[in-house]
Amino acid sequence: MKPSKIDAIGFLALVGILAGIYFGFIHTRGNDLRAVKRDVAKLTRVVLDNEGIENALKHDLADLQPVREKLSRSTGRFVDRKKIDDFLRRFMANADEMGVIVSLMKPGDAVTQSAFSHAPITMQLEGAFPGIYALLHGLETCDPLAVIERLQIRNEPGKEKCQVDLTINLYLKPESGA
Amino acid sequence: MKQVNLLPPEYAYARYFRKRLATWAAFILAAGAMVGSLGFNLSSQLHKAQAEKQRLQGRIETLKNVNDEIQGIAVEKAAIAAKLADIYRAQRKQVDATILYDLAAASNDRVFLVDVLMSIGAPPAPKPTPAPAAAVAAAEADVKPLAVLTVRGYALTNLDLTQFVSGLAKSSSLKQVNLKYGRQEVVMKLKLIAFEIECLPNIEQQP
Repeated sequence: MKPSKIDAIGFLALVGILAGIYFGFIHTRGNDLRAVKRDVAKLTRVVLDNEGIENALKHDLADLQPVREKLSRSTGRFVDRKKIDDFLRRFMANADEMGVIVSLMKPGDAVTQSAFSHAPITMQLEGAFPGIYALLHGLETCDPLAVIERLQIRNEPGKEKCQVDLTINLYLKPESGA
Repeated sequence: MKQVNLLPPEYAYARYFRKRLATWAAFILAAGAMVGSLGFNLSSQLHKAQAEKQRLQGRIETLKNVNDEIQGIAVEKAAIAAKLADIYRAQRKQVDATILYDLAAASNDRVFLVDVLMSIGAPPAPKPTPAPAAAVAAAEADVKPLAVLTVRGYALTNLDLTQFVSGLAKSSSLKQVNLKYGRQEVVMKLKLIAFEIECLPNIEQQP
């Protein structure tokens, strides 16, 4: 069976169709596959580079918790803005108990310095040194957090009672969560 | 013996045509199968690779979120460290009662204090925090407000004044005790030694 002219034309047509399929579909798909594989390799490297990051997050979260608690404990010593009057009443009662007379008590407007606000309170006291000492000791060691900003104790010769000018800063709880 | 082909030519042509058709059909089927399997194989590989790529992209998105969360934690830690530094700075200013106690301990009935002034100045500007992790620890250490204690009074004798000054110098709550002056003055018809002492609260020693 000798190939005829029609066979030759048919063969050429088939080769043409196969070439068309190869370049139009298979070659393109091959290129797509190579590109996707390159992307996969790149992404795999990125994933491997960041593999420990979830452990780091767990670690960081575990570290953050005690720091948050520390801050919460510390700000727990601050006075509520609405309870400044209670603090002043308590201070007056303590002063009375120690035999100290509070002749002036002037709360100032809240001052915001860095992260927290504090209310300055200016006072004038009069009393014997032991009473004043006990009052100031109580102020510095008990809650809420009050810092003596200025303290002047004057004791005139011949007088038993001391005159005290005192400015304290009363730390205020943040209005919306520390 | 001579063979004679008795088949009619139409029949011979038909047989020849069927054979060629079968050959062509086999050839086309083989080529089709080859191209089809190649295409199918490529498609399935591409599909798998794309699925893997999608999975990895999802994973990277998760890792990005984790990274953002870590950044957020670092920022929160730094903010907390700054707040704690403020609180510790405030707490370390609470030294007045201890200083008054030490003043009382150093003095005796031969020394008479007329003016004790303690003023805490503005704290030093906070340094930029190097890293959130170290900042919390640094916050506890780097908080030294400026404060000066000035004491004015009278002593009966120079010896009493010296004893008072040395008592203050020994106090753990005070440092750099400096006698600014000590001179004789007449107070209520008594010859006394008037003095002024300046010193700094030893804030590092405070609890």
